[in-house]
Amino acid sequence: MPKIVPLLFGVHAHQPVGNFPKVLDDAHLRCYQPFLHMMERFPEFRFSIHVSGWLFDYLVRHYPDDIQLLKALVSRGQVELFGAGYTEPVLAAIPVRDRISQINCMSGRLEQVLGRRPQGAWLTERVWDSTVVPSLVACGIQYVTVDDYHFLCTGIDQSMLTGFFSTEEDGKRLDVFPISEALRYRLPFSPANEAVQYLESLAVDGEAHAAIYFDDIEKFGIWPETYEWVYTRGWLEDFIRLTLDSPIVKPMLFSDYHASATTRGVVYLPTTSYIEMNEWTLPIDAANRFSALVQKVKNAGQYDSNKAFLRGGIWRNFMTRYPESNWMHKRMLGLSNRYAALSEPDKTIEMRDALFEAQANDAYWHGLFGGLYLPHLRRAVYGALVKLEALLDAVAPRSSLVSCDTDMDGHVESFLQNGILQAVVRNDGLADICELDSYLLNHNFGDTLTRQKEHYHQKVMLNQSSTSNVEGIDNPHERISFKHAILPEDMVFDSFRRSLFIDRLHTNDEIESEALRYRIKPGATADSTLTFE
Amino acid sequence: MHKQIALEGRALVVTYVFGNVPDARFEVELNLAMPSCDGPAGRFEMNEEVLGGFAQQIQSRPCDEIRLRDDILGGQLMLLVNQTATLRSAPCFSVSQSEAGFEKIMQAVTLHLDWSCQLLKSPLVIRLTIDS
Repeated sequence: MPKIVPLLFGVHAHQPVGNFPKVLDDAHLRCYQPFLHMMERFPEFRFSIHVSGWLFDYLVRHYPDDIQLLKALVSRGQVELFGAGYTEPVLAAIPVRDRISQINCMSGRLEQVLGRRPQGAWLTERVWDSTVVPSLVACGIQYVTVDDYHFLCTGIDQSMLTGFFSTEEDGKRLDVFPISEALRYRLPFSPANEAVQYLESLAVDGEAHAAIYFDDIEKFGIWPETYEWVYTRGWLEDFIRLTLDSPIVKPMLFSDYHASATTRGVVYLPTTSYIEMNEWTLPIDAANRFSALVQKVKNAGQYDSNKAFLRGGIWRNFMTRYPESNWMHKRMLGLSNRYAALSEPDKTIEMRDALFEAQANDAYWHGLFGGLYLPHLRRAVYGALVKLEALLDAVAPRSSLVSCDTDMDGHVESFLQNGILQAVVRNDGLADICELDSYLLNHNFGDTLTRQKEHYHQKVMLNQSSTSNVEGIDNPHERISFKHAILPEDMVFDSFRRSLFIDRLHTNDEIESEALRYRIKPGATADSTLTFE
Repeated sequence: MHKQIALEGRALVVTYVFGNVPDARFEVELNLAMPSCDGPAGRFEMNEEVLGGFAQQIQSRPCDEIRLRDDILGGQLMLLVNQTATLRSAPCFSVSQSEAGFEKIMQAVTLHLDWSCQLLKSPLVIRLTIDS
């Protein structure tokens, strides 16, 4: 029996809700379009693709020819479509009812436009939490992809990770493919011939061992240096030709492999994401300790065999790490609850779409990727939240003053609103305004990020330049570069939260003073007024 | 000292009532998320004079009113005080990393308004009106 390595090659295309049109257009020009056109030339190169819903609809509106091309590739059996939540939410971070609604929306949209309903799903940021299994299964999803790291954390040996495993939650079965980290770091960064040689080296006698790859398509043209490397210098074409010429490597769809192979066995994955993300989720002190520990193990030459036991935090730690992320998240949950409580006739597509947009993952987190630091992405989330709130108020009016501990920090916030504006006042001593919404502009003027130290800041002043590989290009995970010049005086961090109406008394020539503290005045609060003393 | 926060139509109105007035300066800080950030679509206007973009610093300027006009937002914010303040403004930049490298991102326009407490003889009213 000839040795065969099924290559399950998948790419994930995503742009954050609220990203600038010029960024999307540039991404289309430098990545999505040339990638699809290259694939069109090689019908035998089977691959899978996930396009997040907001981007998908942008491409449908602005680049219908390329969507028609994608449809043609689907029709001829070259491409398998993967589903996900429509606006790319982290499924584990949204309510179950919204998980199902988001996944069904994406699947329905793919079926409507491209004629095929997905049976596999991409998990946003590969955030695995077993509670998402029943929702995926309820939507007809049979399998998902996560990192091989997820499997290593269970103690499964790397050599076993060449096919899919099966898991269940609440009796609902889902199959799970392990994405190879070795391939993620090689494609498209290693020279094409070396990448294909690596794939061929995976061949063994007996059962075919699959090479499983699923990663950001943006690595094929958008990430630094990649356009020239992948298209101008021909990496992608070389890789495809060498793969198709190989007597060993056989590109396959996940669906074909899934139908023809059997499960490698049962697995119960821990709540985790890719290994870099696990570090990003940690607070700075913990992140520094974690980073030092990882480095120590690497220096001892023990990292590869023990990395699964060096676990950082989990994605939802971002809610603890960044109060701004937590605030958005809890506001989203509150509005989701209000939407769910409406009678069916009162619910509208406009409300649902705004809720979906508010659940897009990007603005909720920060690492090498993630958009918490990007004001336009947070603004997109708040724009959706404020819009949804106004729509909900129109059918289910609120009191002009509501007080509750929205963000679960042990302090009450007061929501003062008149249908035109809303001021959210924190009752934890400062009597400051953390959210100031205009329902006419769908904007929160209080959406400011307090500057806190990040563990990578220590690298800034080292001013290291990137070291280049002799061949291939640098993986962005490993490079240090500067988009802007950063001076020591730029490294300023806030000792207080950045909000509105923080009050201070400066005596004599005192420059820095503590913020004044207040308490709510008992009995002095009217419908449209809050009084503190 | 009392601090009262109220909504009046399109305006947020914050009123301060002082009891025993100390020999000090009273300062109010507002961090405002303006979509134009440090781009050309945002500008300060005072008495029909354009003072500059949101990334420009304003240093110790007497102020009874200032307008923050933002074309990306498609709206403006008018700040009025009933007793002349000394205004300072500065952009707030963060330093973070992305796949493109380390970068500075403008997070807010930070306004500081201050008054000598000795001169505050009546309630101090700050009115923030938001218009589309």
